[in-house]
Amino acid sequence: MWWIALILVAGIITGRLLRSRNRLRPGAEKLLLLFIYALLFFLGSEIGSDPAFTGQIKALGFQGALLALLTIAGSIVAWKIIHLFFHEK
Amino acid sequence: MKNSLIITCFFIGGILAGFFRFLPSGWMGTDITRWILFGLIFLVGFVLGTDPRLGMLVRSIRVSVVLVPLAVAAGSLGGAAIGCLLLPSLSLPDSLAIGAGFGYYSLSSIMIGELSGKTAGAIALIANIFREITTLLAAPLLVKWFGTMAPVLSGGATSMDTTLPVIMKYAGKEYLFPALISGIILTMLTPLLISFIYAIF
Repeated sequence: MWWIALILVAGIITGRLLRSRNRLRPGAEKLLLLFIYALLFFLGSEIGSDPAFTGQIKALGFQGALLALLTIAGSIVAWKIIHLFFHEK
Repeated sequence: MKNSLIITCFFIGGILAGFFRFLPSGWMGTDITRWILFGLIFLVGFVLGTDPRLGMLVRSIRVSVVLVPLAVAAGSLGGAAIGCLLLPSLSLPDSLAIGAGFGYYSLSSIMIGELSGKTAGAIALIANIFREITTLLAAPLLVKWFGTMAPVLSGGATSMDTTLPVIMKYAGKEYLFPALISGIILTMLTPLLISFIYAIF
């Protein structure tokens, strides 16, 4: 946990210090996408090489969709609750 | 939308490569992917740090503005906890971590795949892409049913970039600011919360 927080903060500070060098940002964004492509490809290959995978597709899709709708609904409900408290003050 | 498609293609390409045994498996959870993940998190911070809007946004932060990402964080984790009750095959930390993606599907799925396992990583990818697409497609309905803040809440971390245009179109131009602040705070929270969840459970 602390490693990831430290790395994130180190990244933000480095970026902030170098923000006047405009050319670095597009390069960093490209590299970021490259890392994402690589890691998602590895994640995919891991899932694809699992013999149980083909039987799981539907279940994974259903679980993902349900969680998406629940997190959206939860966010809206939490906002309504906060709003209620803020207006009653 | 274009990036979502390319990213999904890489993921599906990976699945096919694994399925047809084009490359040896066992990559995730190794030193190689761990270091790429560290590099990725550093770059996420770096890109946020170089964002010209960051200084302006930090100076303008008020308590009332932070309430939006707070509602998204609390509500998404709450919704994910309910999801865990409905889906017995999913563990509570996995469910919470998927909710803590806030629509940031690339980073959340990679982190969860690495820190927990491939199945949870795949669900994280599907759930968070679904969250972004729902926000993009249902923004007008969300505004109609739940008010003008609803697409910002639904967009989560994506409200600073991919879903910003639909938010401004259907909620109004005055939502630019809350959407940016909420999106930036949630983008920073995603890696922190996911690693925190797996550290405490």
